[in-house]
Amino acid sequence: MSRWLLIIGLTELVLIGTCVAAVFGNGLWLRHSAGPRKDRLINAHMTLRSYFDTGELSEEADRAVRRLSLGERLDLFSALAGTFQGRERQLAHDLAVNLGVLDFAARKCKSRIWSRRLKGVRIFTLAGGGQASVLSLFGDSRTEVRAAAAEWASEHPTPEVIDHLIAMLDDTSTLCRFTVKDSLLRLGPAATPALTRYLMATDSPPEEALEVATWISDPAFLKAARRFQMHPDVTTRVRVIELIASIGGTEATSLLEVSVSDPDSEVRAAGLRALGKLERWQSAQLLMIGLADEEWQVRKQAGLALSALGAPGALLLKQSLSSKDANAADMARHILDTPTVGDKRGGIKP
Amino acid sequence: MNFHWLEAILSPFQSFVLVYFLAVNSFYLLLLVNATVELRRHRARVKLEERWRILGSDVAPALSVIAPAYNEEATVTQSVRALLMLRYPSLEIVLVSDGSRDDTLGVLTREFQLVPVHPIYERRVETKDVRAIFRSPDYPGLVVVDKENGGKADALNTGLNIASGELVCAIDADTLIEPEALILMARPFLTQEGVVAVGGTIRVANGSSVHNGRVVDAQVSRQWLAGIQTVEYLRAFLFGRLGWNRIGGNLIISGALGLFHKDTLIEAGGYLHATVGEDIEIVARIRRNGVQNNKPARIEFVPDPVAWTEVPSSLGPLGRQRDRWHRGLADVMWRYRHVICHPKYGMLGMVAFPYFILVELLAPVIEALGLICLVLALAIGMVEFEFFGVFFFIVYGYGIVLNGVVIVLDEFGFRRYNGWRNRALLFLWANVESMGYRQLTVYWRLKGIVGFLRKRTEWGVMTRAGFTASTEIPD
Repeated sequence: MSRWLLIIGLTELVLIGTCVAAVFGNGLWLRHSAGPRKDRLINAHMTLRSYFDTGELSEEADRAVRRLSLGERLDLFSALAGTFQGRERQLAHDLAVNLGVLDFAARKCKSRIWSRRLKGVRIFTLAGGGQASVLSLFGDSRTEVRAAAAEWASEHPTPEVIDHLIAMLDDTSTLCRFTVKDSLLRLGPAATPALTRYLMATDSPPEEALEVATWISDPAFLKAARRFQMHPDVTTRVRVIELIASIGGTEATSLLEVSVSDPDSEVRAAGLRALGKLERWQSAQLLMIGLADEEWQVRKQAGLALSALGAPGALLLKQSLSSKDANAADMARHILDTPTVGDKRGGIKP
Repeated sequence: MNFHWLEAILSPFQSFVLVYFLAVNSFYLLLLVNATVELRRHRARVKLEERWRILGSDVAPALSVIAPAYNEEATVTQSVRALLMLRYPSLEIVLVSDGSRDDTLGVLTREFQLVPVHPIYERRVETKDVRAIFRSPDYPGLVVVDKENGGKADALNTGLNIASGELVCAIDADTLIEPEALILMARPFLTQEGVVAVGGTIRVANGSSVHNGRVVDAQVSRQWLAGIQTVEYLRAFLFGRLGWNRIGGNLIISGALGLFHKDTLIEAGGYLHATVGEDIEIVARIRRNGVQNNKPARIEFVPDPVAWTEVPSSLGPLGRQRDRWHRGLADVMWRYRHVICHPKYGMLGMVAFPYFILVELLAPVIEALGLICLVLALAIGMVEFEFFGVFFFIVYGYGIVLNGVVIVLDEFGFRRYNGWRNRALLFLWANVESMGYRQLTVYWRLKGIVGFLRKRTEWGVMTRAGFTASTEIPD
């Protein structure tokens, strides 16, 4: 028994000792290296200012940056990336080429280990470039790598890249679909031709595709929207309504007015919300009918839509305060009481 | 005197206790390995990631933070101001005063120039009556609700009814959430299929410097109770919750910081009144409903988002808290006993629930009996001190080692406690935990089990000192 006691006790002591050594050792290492590291990064930041002003890399700046380790250079680019646009971003890219950062990234993109491929793509996203390396990663087996490729694409709006993005709209991974959607939103009108072709070719458009089309709100999407207005899926019908509302115009209004008599309450609510966004006072009668709907959300959207009409809508809401329909009166009171806040998605959000 | 009959009982029981704790600690080791792997993968996933992307994204869903409050006049202003500074594109704060008897509402009205609005809302979950709803012209995202006292669950349900966001974050009013926490917690909803709830990490604020509702300088408390709880919380979140991520068995999202899909919560019936463990109960219900109705019910834990909370620093309130937590756990396990070992519920029924019963719930019973038996056995000369030593090393020493590894994980993964003093204190409290504190928690948890069996439902009183603001922000 005493042998076992000794073994167990010693093992635990060694393990605890190792933990203590690891933690304090790390603290010592950080103390020793953190200060000089911080100084090097600040020095590189300061000396690079003139480079981004003039486009000429001075010897001092070149020395300061080359003194950094590869990890420090990546930290530097990570800090710079979000702040630069246009010419400065191009200068940052040239600097990255000069320092061998992009060669490093290209090698990482070919790695068998997914976390290294991911790192490679993210470096290209930070520093720019990488078309040759990243395009092949749109079909990567790892979700994180495909998503990172989609993120990279938002800064590289070539037709080939956009086609790759559109093709990922029905990716099995939620992460990829979210990133693709976000990237397409950032690309904006550049994605319109490819997205229009996609919507005309499919019978069941993914929600993400319709959301992107809504944000871009190009009249080219109206034909596709008409195709899906009576789609059996409720979510699709709702998204189509949002798309039609974003495009606007007389034809859009007549399509929306049809939706407020949809059997599904979600669709009716979306239709009323959309009419509110278009601020069509000619639709006021339909909005008043919606204010007395049996469903809360429909009544709420009708109320908000009336509020969006300005003075005429407010008058109708005030008249509704004495409505015989208690639900309509309550909702009118709720809307009139609530402070208005602008909602860039359309309608007014209390 | 002849103690053969006693030896016949004690001997096998002691062996059982040893084997039990070996098995439990081995499972903890498995969780620890899982947590380490999960942490490494998580770090690889987020390295060089542009987190501001969600902040600037037009596709981030609207989010409402629901903060129930009861007699929080000392801390509520600071808490609300901190909530209003959270970084999220489309944020609403719903503070629900659950019939506070102090000046909570008065303080809020004066601080935020609240004006009453008509209390009209969709009552999707039944709650006690709402007396008034207030809004602030200066802070359009702030909604304050005054309602009849009905308990925390009732307050949360009221918040659910009134919140307008697609996602809701239930917090405690005295919790300080870090600015980027919501963005980090919202991410799994956008990037993973079927996620309905996400939990973050809770850290102990005692001893830290707080400025404008934010912890600006994290320090490990020098006060022994709070210091030990710091290590406890690290263990619970960094290896407990994270380890369960990979097994798919997260059953708890802390009431201090949890993000939920609002409609899923409402469809599940909202929070339950008749339990003191409403945060465990709602997650168990969501998961069970998900299996029964074939609906999404994935629960994720993300280690990066952090909320800081004040923990009890005296024995009375701490004991009441642990008693309540254990009563809540017992209650939930009893309510969902039909899930246990049922193959239909997959990992939930076959692994998670049995673990929570055999380990979390019954461990204090077995530990208490084991200690009593050991003392008896020593007294009658049945065992030698060597056996006592083996018992100590397996039951307590192993725990100290696990604590040490968790401190290492925190150091290399997050490093929130800098400086030699903090590191030394963490190890000190990690070692001291087993010398009295752990035995106290055994006692409190046993009280909790007895309380459950006696059907006690009270919460107890928690007095809070409030966060003290620092006058200087350290470098």
